[in-house]
Amino acid sequence: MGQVLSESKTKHPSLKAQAGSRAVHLHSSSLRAEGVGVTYQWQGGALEVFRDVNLEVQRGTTLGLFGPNGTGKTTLIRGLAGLIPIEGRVHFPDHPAEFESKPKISCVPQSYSHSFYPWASLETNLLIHLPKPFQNAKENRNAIREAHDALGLKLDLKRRPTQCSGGMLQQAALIRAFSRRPDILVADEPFSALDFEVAGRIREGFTRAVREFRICALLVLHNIEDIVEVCDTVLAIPGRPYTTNPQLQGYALAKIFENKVDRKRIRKAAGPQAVSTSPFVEAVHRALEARG
Amino acid sequence: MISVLKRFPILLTIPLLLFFWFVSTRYGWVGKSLLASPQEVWQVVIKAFHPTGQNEDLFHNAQDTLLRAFIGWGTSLLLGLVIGLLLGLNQVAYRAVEPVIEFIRAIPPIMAFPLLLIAFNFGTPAYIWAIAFGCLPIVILTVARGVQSLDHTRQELLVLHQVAKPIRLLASVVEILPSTFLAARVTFSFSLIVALVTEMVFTPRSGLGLGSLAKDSEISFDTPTFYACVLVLGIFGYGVNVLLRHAEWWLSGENTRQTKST
Repeated sequence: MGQVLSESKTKHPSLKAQAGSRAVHLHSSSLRAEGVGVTYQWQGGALEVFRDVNLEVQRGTTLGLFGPNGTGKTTLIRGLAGLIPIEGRVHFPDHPAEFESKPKISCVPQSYSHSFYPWASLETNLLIHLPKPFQNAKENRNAIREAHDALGLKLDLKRRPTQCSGGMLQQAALIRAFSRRPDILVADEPFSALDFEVAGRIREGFTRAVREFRICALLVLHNIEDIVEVCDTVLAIPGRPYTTNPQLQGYALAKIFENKVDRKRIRKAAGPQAVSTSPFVEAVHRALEARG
Repeated sequence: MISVLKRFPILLTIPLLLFFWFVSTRYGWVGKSLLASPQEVWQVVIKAFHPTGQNEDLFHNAQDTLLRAFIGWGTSLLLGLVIGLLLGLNQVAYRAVEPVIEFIRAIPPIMAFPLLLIAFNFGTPAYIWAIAFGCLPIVILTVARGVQSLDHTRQELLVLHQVAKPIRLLASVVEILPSTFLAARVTFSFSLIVALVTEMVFTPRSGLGLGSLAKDSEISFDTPTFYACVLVLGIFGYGVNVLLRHAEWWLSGENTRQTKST
C-alpha cells in the first residue's frame, strides 16, 4: 500500500530524474518520490507550489490527492509523470540499476475531451497511443477490448468523438490509459463526468484493474465517494506551498486514511447509502487540525 | 419541398437572383451596355462549353486562366505548408521571419508583376509566379499559426505515451489540416482574382486568358461575353470552395456532429 515518506535515504544515481528534465526513469515495484518540489518562475515573481515532498505508491495500489482548488494537486501528479520539470528524484528503488528502460506512464488528463482527434473513431484514437499501432493492430485491439471489459464498460468505440458525450469521452480516456498496461497511471478527476451507475461500475473495475495489472495509480479526486471507494491511501493538501518535511515551513500533507482497513471502517461508519457524509469529512478535519 | 429548401437554401437564392437579373434587363432598369440578359449570357456559355459549340474563345481562355490559377495556387500551398510547418515549430524563426512575410503580404502581387515580366517576359511562368507570390504569405502565416495552436493536451499525451515520432508528426499535420483548408479556400479565390487582374492589366499579344477576354469584351461593349467570363469564374471558384469545405468538414469531424443532431 502507499505511504508518505517523511525521510528517505534511498538514492540511485542511475535512476535519477534531473531537475528540469522531462524524463523520469523508473520501473519495477513502487513509485517513489524524494524531495520533489515545483516553483513556477515568471518575470518579476515566483510561486512555490510544493517543496521537499516524499511519497511512495506501491504497485497495485492507488494514492488519492484531495484538497481545495489551486493548491497544486495537478502540478504534483504532472511533475511525477514527467510532464513538467521538477526538483528532486522520482524512481523505483527496487529496480536493478542496469535496467534503464523508461516506465510506461498513462495519463487521464483533466481536459480529457481535448485529447481526442475528431477525424478518427474512438478506437483509432486509442490505437494511436499503443505501441506500433498499425503493425500490431490485432494485439492492440485486444488490449483495448480487455481494458474495456476490465473497467466494466459498454462503450461503442466505433463512434467519433463528436458523437460522444463528455462522460463517454472520459470512459474512452480511461480505456486508453489502461489498454497501455502502464506501470504508472496518473489521472486528474477521472470520474468527474460519469453518471451514477457508470461511476459505480467503473470504480469497481478501476480498483480491480489497478490490482490485476499491478499499476501504481495516482489520482486527483474531489468526490468523497470516489476517494473512499477507489483509493488505498488519501492525502489531503491543505494549502500552498505544501511539504512532507516537518522541519520546513509550509502546509503539511495530511493523511486521511492509509489502507483498506481504514477505508472499510469509514465506509461502514457512513453506511452503504452515505459514504460521502460525515465520517470522511470528519476524518479530513481531524487530519487537518492534527497538522497544527 | 420545404424540407429540401431548408436543407439547400441556395435553391431559393439562385432562382431569385436570376429572376431579378431577368426583370432588370427585360424592363430596361439597367442599360444593355452595362448588363446583358441572362439568356444572352447563357447562349455564350453554351456555345463555349457545348461539344458542338462555336465560341471556342471563352472555352480556351477559361482553360488557360484556370490552369494558371490552379498551378500558382497549388505551388503556394505546397511551399506554404512546408515553410509554415517549419516556422510554426520554431518560435525564434517565426518571430524573425513574420514581419518580412507581413510586409510582403501587404504588397499587391500586381506590383511585383513588372519584375516577373523582366524574368519571364509574357510567358506563363510570370502569371503563375504572380499568383503564387500573392497566395504564399497567406498560406505560410495560416499554417504556422495552426501549428502554434496545436492542442497542448494532445501533444503532451502523445509524448508521455511515447508515441512514435512519425505518428506524432502525421497526427499534427492532420490536426492543422482545418487551418490549411481555410488558407486553401481563401487563397483559391485570391488566386483567381490575381490571375484575372494580371491578365487584364498585362495582356500579352496573344491575348490569352479570361482577363484579357473580359477586358476586350468590355471595351467592345460585348456584355454577354463579359458576363459569361464573370459567370464561369464565379461557378468555378464556388465549386472548388465547396469541395474544400466538404473535405474540411470531414476532417474536423463536423460531418459527424451534424449526424448527432439529426
